[in-house]
Amino acid sequence: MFHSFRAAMTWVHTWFGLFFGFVLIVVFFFGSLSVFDREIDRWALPETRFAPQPMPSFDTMLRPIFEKIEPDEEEVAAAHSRVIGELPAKLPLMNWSAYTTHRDPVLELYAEFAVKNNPKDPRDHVHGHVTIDPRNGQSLPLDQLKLGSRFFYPMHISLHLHWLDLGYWIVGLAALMLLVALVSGAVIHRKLLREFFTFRPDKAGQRSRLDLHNLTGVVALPFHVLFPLTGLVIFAGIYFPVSETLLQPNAQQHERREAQTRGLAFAPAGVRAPMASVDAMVTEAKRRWAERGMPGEVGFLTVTHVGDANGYVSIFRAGSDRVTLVGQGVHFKAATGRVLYEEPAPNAIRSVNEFLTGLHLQHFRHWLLRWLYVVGGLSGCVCMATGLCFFVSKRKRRHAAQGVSGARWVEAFAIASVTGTVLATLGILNANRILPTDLPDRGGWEEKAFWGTWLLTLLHAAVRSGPARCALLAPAWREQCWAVAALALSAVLLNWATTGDHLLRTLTRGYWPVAGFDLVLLAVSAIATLSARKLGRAERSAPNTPQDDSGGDLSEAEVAHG
Amino acid sequence: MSQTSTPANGLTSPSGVHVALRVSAGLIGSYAFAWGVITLGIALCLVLGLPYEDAKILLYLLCFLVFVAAFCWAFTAQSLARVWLTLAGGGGVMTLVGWLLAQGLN
Repeated sequence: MFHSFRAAMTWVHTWFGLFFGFVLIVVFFFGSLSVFDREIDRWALPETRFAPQPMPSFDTMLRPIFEKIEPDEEEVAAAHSRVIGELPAKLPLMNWSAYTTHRDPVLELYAEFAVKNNPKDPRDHVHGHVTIDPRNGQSLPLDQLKLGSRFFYPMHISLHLHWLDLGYWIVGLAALMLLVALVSGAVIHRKLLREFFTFRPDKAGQRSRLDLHNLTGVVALPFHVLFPLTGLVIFAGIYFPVSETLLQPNAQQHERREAQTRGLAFAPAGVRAPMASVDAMVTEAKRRWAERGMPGEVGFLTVTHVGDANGYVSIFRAGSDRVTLVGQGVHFKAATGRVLYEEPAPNAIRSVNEFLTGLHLQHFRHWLLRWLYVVGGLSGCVCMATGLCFFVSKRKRRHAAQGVSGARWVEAFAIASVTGTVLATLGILNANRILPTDLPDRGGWEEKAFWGTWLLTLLHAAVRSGPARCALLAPAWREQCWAVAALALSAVLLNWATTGDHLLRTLTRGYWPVAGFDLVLLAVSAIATLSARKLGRAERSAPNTPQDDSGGDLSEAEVAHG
Repeated sequence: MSQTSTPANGLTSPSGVHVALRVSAGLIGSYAFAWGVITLGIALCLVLGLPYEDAKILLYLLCFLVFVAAFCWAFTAQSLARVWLTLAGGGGVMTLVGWLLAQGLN
């Protein structure tokens, strides 16, 4: 189909880059926000603005709360369609779990309840959960939306498209296409090292845009390779569900054998049994970690087969001081507190896997590295955005001359995915501070503010990209930059007005989750103002002439660095 | 495959059908090929005595690189017929062999 290897790679880079560039900007942007998801949660939920807490006592605090958790009503309603006959009024309890990191003031507790009469899935279950303040055990309202960990993070991994797991598949495919774009990009731009040092911001638009595309792509190359790859590995079970399909017998046989050798029962015995002190088990687990030369805190605690003679408690160490998330699990018999199994150090394959997934999910304590993740993610956004802009500016005049609107639509979508994504985010942040606290389904309204703002930015971009047809820069870019500047500033002011936490106070108290996020919003506002003014000057200085460099110094061959 | 024409500028411009077949080979063919690599790879690891979970993790770490390589090859190989045969055909055969092999181990 192509006359050369490089021509084929250029074609793939251009068209798959265009198609998935929009998705990748969104994934990179919300991934960057997710690096500070817990901190954004604090900004959005003022009553949770206190210091991170360790896992509280299970026996005195967590157990009574766990016992009161009810199955989620929506999940139960959905389960009705999966079963034969009626669901029992009270679903049998299966498991409990609690997960925390060094950045969590509040603690989320989960319970699993068995759905026994589903003929297709004997292990079918529904969940219940509650978020508590570990200082006093009080639970927080269920309809509160944790903006960072429950909205921006799911946006990053699944775009909130739940039907058929479609979001996961789109994000996964986009990640694969990013890897393809890196391979094809390296083929197109063979002089990687030279491009590393090339950025000519003074050169006319198209040239500097291509420089910036190459620069952001190359500088953060290790990041751009590792993150899509590790993200794919984390969700590989969704993309290639071997254990649930072709190799199910092998997988189940392995699971049973594993349970047997470890003494961790695969199924409940059906005989009720009391529960020994879990706090004592935590003490024993901590003693064993210290003995292995790695003292630490509890990150993840689960009780499997609650209240059953086969029940066991698993205690995992928080990986705050290492890349791996949680590990060094110690398992105890729930009824007696006897150690059943202590997980050995992982073998080579598992070490690599745990390192890679931990690298992506980053729950370790290292603030500089955390910020570098944000820089890497945003450089990805810039790389995609400049790529899209380059695509547009290269075709704009030709399309304008031919009367084709292709470039115009690409530009409208580029605007909606760059400034539009930022605006939608600011929309939900502002809504979070404006909506009355007693509004029923407040979280749902916040989400509507997000999608509504995004839709508006797309409509605005479509209407105000008209001049793009005659090869001018779309005014929508400038106008949306002004909107970003205004909404970022208003979010900071609204936070002050509704909580009293102005920067002077949060900074002097050293409450960085909120102070940091306010500072970022102010920086966003400043950058957007500068960008809007610069765009305005560019529009005024070239009212009738095309904005791209028509001097012919950017031939097809040079684009490909031939 | 010769559904290409050569316009005046010397660049070949592929026909719509050919592009569609290339793109679907890249996406569907590479996916099938990756399934084959995973199934056969796990089965071979099981034969060599590796526990199932470790074998699965190993192949999950490799399969996306396989996909990317297969995808790029689907666009750079000259013969579209060979691309489809290798990716979809090879993927199918590997999946079948891997499945049969794994069945025999139970």
